[in-house]
Amino acid sequence: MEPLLNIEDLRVYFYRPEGVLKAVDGLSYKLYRGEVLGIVGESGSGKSVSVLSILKLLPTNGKIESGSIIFDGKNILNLSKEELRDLRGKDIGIVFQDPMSSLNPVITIGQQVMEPLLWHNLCSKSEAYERAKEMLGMVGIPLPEERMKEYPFQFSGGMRQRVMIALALICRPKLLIADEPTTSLDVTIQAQIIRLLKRMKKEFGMSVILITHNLALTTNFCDRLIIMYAGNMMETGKTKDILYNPAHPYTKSLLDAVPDIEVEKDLVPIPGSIPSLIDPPNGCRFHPRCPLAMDICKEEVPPLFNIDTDHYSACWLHRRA
Amino acid sequence: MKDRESKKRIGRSYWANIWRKFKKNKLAIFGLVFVFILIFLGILAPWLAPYPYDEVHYEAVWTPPNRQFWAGTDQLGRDIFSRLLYSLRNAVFVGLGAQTFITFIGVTVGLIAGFYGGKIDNILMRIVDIIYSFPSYLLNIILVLVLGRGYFSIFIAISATGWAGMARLVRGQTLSVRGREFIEAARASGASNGRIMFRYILPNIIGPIIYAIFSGIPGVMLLESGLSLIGLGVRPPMPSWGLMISEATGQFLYNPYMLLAPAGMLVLTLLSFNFVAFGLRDALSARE
Amino acid sequence: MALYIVKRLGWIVFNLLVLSLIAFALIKSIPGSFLELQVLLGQAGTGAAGLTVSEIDKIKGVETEMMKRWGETVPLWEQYITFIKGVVTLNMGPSFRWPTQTIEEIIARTFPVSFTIAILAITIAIFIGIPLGVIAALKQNTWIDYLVSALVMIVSAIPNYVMAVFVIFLFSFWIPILPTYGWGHPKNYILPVLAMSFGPIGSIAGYMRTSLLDALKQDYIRTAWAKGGTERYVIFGHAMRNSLIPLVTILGPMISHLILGTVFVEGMFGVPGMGQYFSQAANSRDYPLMMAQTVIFGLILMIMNLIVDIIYFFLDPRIRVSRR
Repeated sequence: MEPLLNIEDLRVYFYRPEGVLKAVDGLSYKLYRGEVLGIVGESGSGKSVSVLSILKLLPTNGKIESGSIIFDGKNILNLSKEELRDLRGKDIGIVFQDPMSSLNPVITIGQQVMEPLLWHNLCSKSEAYERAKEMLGMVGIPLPEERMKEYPFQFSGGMRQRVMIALALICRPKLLIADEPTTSLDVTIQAQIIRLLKRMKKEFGMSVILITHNLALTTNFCDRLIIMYAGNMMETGKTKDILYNPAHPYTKSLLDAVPDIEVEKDLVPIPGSIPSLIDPPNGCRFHPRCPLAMDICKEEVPPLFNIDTDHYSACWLHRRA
Repeated sequence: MKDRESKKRIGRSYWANIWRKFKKNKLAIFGLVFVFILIFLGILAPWLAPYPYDEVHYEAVWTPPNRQFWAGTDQLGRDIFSRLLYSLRNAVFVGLGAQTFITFIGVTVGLIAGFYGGKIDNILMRIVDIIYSFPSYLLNIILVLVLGRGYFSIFIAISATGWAGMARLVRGQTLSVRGREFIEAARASGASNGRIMFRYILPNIIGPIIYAIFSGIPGVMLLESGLSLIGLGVRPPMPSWGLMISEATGQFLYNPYMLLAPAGMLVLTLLSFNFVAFGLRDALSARE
Repeated sequence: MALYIVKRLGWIVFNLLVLSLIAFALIKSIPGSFLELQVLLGQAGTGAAGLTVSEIDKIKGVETEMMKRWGETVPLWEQYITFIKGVVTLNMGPSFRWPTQTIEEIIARTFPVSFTIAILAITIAIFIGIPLGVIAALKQNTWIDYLVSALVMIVSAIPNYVMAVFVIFLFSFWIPILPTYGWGHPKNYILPVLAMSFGPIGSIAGYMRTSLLDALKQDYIRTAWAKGGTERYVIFGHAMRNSLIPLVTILGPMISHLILGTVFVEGMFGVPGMGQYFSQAANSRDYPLMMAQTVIFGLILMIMNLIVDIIYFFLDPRIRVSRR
């Protein structure tokens, strides 16, 4: 089956006065229709940058150096401005991290939810109004008729994120990207939002990419996971496999750092800090912090080893002699 | 290489960062250098000027710039270049002097209003609002009339209305800093109110204040030259750019340099201060 | 909203009273006195001032009027009350400097002139400054941006009376098409308005550029792009709305600056506006006129500021909605 999204050897660099920051350095993965993929990593791992590249929404000093991004058979990097615009908001919807700042404070919520429909000329204004109202109701906003006329500052954080989800999905896109949708929300709201995303996925059947640094959020929602670190993919596989049989030392450290309510154990933080992406370590980027680092790790970048069906890990430990 | 990184980050204090950003702005550095040059020239004017500012040369009226009179002469044959230098001196005096008054009064009022809050804040801000709504130019003119012409009255006139803006700024800044923990800590360790205001709050808000000072000086200079323009500035024959400009407008055809010289100098001076102010604003706002 | 306006109007009245008191006190302490008037009257008696018979009669009448209002025998507080009553009822008596005219006549004649110039200047500044700022922001760091920014910076550092001279030189000598001095024809408005509008053009363009650039950096603009917006929708439908609102906040002080600034520029163009009358009044110690003008100027300023605040209120939904 053709994947909906096929990313190959993506490299995204930021040109800063201090030097070139290699935010994503050789990332490849596939996403199939109807799949929910979770991309997990610490801040600075490149997870957000990789998905922003899909829609070419990078800040001005960011450049997609090389690689290919193929969505629904089209190479995004070769698209014209008009074609790209056509994808945005209509075939691919994106929910950003901070709902406070991601909505325009001086334009009504209703207008902002209607815009994807209007800007792509998908329907008339009155029809867009009805659909926006309907969408707001679907994402769980009470009394949508009245709230359409209100402004973002009159909504709470969780409500605003629901609005973001509404406007991302209003054109029934094939892919929904959720970039840390819960990170700036209260813990209690986080679960609600994930539940909402699950419900929407069930309702519309689109593929979803969920980006988060919180492994716990992926457990009931994501089919597959990608673990990223310092711009590279460390491990990928089915969610269950990764959570119960983590292969990569980094994944194991991440899981060790998560408290478990049933088992009493020491929280083991990962020593050290994220490396500089301007001057990354040679070889495996995790080696300075890896408890199992070997000599080869310092010199050569490990390829992805196939550990099990659909389970890959980029670590020299898996090398068979 | 990780150590290099951490060393780079540790050594940076607040001011070093700002200065670094400021340095990057070439216009701002140029402005700053120019400002210093101007102040220097202004202070030393009596010694640098080739002629006294009131010495007439009836045989050489309206001459264009030449070797003897670097900027030409005016309708009484006075050397424009020397008069420019003295005008610069006056401008520097008035600009820095009045701005100093304004800063002192404005900062004090603003700190007190922001710090104590409540009734005191209300009353002080009401006064500021009232002053803000006055037609300041008119009051300046009136004050100069009342106090007679001369430096001191210009200082008083300009400061009397100018402190309001500074007070408002400082009050706003004080309010935003007042709630921070280190203020609590200072209070807990027994610091008096005055000490807290001046030793704790003030150093933390000095950035915007410096910006206000640098963008205020051009305003003061403009006020002074405006007053001179209508005949209420420093007493002639002591020159001022405004005075020189008003004398020159009628004679523009006979000797355009009479106008271009003071106008040009005025604009250059204002521009330098503006460049510094812009550079400051960029350096202060783009904080990481 | 209505309550807000009423409160503000109340404060305006209060501020004006304070202003009038201060103006009265200050002006009364200006050294010098009635002398000019006596001189003028003396001249009138000998026909030296070139006045007609009816005007001379009028001046004689004026003398009694002056004595009644401002004479040394009248206690200060009574002078003040008369003054206030005069302002309110628009019956302020004759001016010292131009005894054949009453103050209210002078103000009624000159105020519209200055006001028109100021309003025209700010209108031009808005219509030219905003597009300039937008262009500079959109073409950031290209030569267009640098050119516009440089022009803006230089122009806003030139005081309007200097600009006045350049404008006169440019349009009357170099390309002699416009009249510089004199009044009566709409053509006479062009140069003064032009001279006064350069400064505001600079400020508005500069501010607009900064404001738009700031708005474009915001997250909600990224959201707009992500929704599939074109340049038109994102920049003009979203970013402009956000960046125009803060612009209104600088319009208030700018208008005040313009209205007052006419004081310096009118003299150069021979514009018979309030500004010129004020500076001449100041030079000839025409107290009643100065006092009245100060209060009137103050009133205009305060009302303009109130109008700007009201406009801002309507533009920014955050303020408008939460006040309900």
